[in-house]
Amino acid sequence: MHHYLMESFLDHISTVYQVLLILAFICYTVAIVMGKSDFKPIFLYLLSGVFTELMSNMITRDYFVVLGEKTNAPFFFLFALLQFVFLSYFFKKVITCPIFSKFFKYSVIIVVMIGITPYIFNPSWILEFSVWLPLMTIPLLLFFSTYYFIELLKYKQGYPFINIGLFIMLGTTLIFFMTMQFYEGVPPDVKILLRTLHVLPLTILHTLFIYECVLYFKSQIPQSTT
Amino acid sequence: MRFILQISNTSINYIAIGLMIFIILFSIGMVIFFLLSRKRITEADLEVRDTQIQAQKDVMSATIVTQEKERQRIARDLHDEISAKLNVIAMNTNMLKEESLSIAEREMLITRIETATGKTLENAREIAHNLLPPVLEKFGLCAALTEVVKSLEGNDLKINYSCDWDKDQFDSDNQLHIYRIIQELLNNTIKYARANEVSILLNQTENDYILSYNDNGIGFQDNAQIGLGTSNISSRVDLLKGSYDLQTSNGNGVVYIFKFPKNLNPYD
Repeated sequence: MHHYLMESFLDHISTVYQVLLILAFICYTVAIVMGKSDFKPIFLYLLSGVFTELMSNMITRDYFVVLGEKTNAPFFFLFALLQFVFLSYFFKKVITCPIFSKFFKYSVIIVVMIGITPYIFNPSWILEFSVWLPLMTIPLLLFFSTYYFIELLKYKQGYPFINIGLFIMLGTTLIFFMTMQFYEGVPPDVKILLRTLHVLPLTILHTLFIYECVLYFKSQIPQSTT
Repeated sequence: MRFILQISNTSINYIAIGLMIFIILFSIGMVIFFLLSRKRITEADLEVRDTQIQAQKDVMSATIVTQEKERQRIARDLHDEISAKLNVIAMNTNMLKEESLSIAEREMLITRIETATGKTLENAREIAHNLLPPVLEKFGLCAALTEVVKSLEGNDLKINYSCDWDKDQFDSDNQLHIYRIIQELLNNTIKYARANEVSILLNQTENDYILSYNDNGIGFQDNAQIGLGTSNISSRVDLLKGSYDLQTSNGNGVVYIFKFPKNLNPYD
């Protein structure tokens, strides 16, 4: 009964996450059409998220298989890479520190190289759920997020809610992937709780994305001076 | 061995759960901390804005009061100097209509009318001159100030004056502002300072026009003695995007140093 409730909660929260992802994608599409170029990286990130979810759902419903296998692992790999590229692009756009701009390019290239090299030598990893790439890329994104938060405390301009959402998501995802190697013999309830704690920050992330976008829409409404 | 592995993996996962909950709670803390810090920044901004608005209000109120005083002065001048004399002219003109008047009486009336008309013209010219000195328009600030200095200099007051400002590099509105500032300073010196020596020096550096004004009067120390005239000076200096420094104390006269940027445009 307890196990069933937890799983049911996870299912519900997963559905909420998918709805919020689509809503956030629509909001950011509108913002981009309105000319908000700062939101372009988040839009691209959401686009890759929607694409991955769509492909995963299609594979689950047997619409197609990848290289003869029913797995969405290649999309997971692709998403991990795109997530790193687009979120780095976001932080590049918003962080104003000149030292950051100087070392940004090199740090991103080095991390991508370290992240991708094992997959080049061992392409079968792409068809497995290898956490190497996210484990290599997320710490740098977490560093960018922390740095941006410190900058936000000094200035009035910026996107605090996007950043805090990213911080929650990146932090919990990093821990979630780190423990994936230690699932053997773990009670199912603990696994469900872990998955719930992985999905819950994603719903928080998309809620905060939508909130930041709503703030932008509100700022575009002409204010009365009377 | 399997049992030990099971405990170990479960513990690792529990630690992970704890860490994930910690990150979520930490992020909530970040949101609260961020909102509080933004509130503090906003409050500080509002305080600065309030001060700026108050300063603008002060300048506006000083401007309005000065305008009203100027209007009252013009109205008084028109009433006392012009209207009174025009009444005399009108009265004498009416008297001229009397047929019983002798030639001598008529000549006397005509002389009175001529004298009153001449004085009226002189007064009208004076009022116009006070509003906008024609020499300022025609020959520029240095010439206008030379005229002011000549009109004030006498046994009681010695004025050391020099001006090397280029008339053509200074538009007429700006020249009028500087002229009014110096008029105000001279007015203060004559009215309150009990000074017998004044120095007005207008020179320039590579980037700025410099105006130095000092007198050897009684000076002042109390801020309350800074009146409407001084606020007027401040607002004109602001308009010219300039700055000024005042040094004074009881018994030591005043020293004003004004600095105005070259190529200034008050409407920028």
